[in-house]
Amino acid sequence: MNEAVRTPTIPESLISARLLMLQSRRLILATLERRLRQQPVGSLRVRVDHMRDATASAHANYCSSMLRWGSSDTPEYWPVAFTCLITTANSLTGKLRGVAPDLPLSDRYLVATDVEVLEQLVEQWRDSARSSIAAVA
Amino acid sequence: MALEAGRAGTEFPGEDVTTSALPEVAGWISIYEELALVLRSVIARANGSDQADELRASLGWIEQRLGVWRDRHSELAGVVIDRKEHTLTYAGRSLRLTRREADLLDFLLRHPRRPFTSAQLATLAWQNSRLSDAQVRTYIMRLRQRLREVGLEEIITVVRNRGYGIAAGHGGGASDE
Repeated sequence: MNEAVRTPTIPESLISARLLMLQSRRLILATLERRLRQQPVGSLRVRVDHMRDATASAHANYCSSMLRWGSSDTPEYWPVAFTCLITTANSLTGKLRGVAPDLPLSDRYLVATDVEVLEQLVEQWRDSARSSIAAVA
Repeated sequence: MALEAGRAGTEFPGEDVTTSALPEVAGWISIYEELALVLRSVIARANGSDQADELRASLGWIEQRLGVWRDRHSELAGVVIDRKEHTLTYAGRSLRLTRREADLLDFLLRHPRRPFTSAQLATLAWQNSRLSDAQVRTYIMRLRQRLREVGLEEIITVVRNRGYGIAAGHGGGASDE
């Protein structure tokens, strides 16, 4: 008996394509890094750096497509959503920590409070990310 | 979690509030905005799930902090806008604006580092999507002429093909993007 095969929607295809792109770049990066460890030459180092940037960009593309078109009913959605929140919050915390030395004391107090709450949020999102990854596995 | 609200008072006695932190505060605002954007997108999809309430509480805190830092940014830029009275105070000088002018300048100051198109300004600053590009352009031109009276003629910059923003010297940086 023939089972009806559902055709993937355009957003689903885009997400899959970007995931494949990310996975292939990760594989190439792993191969290059292994070769660099065996043969530490300058030209290889440049290629590794380039591939690291390309992998980061592929990761950002995959995450943004998942956030834009992904469905929260799919198990892959939540790890990506929480990772994206954690990355943005960490970037903000990093910037807040590098607070200007001439910032008025009252502002520094505000910044310290922000950092503290953001760290709590990140911890909370990390727990949720771990649970969502466990659900996928 | 203690999602504390409000600004913790004014400067301490004897404290010098002149600071070069204006671009830094503008940078924090843009990352807070990004975080709020991601959260809103996740909440929109999470409706009905267990995560939604927790995420909404986080968004509430982030939006409150955005408000605090936007106010602080305006203070540091030295431009104070009273949206009720439609008055602007800068370097000890006051200027009476129309409601639309005050709303527009206040909106741009609270969203530094980002240029906005005429259509975006009409919708976001004035909640009026029916204004044409030409009408918005005229409002901006008039506002810039008015701002000359208090020495702020350069505060609104035009970013080619991207719209209008706040000049880097006033804590913006839309023209650098």
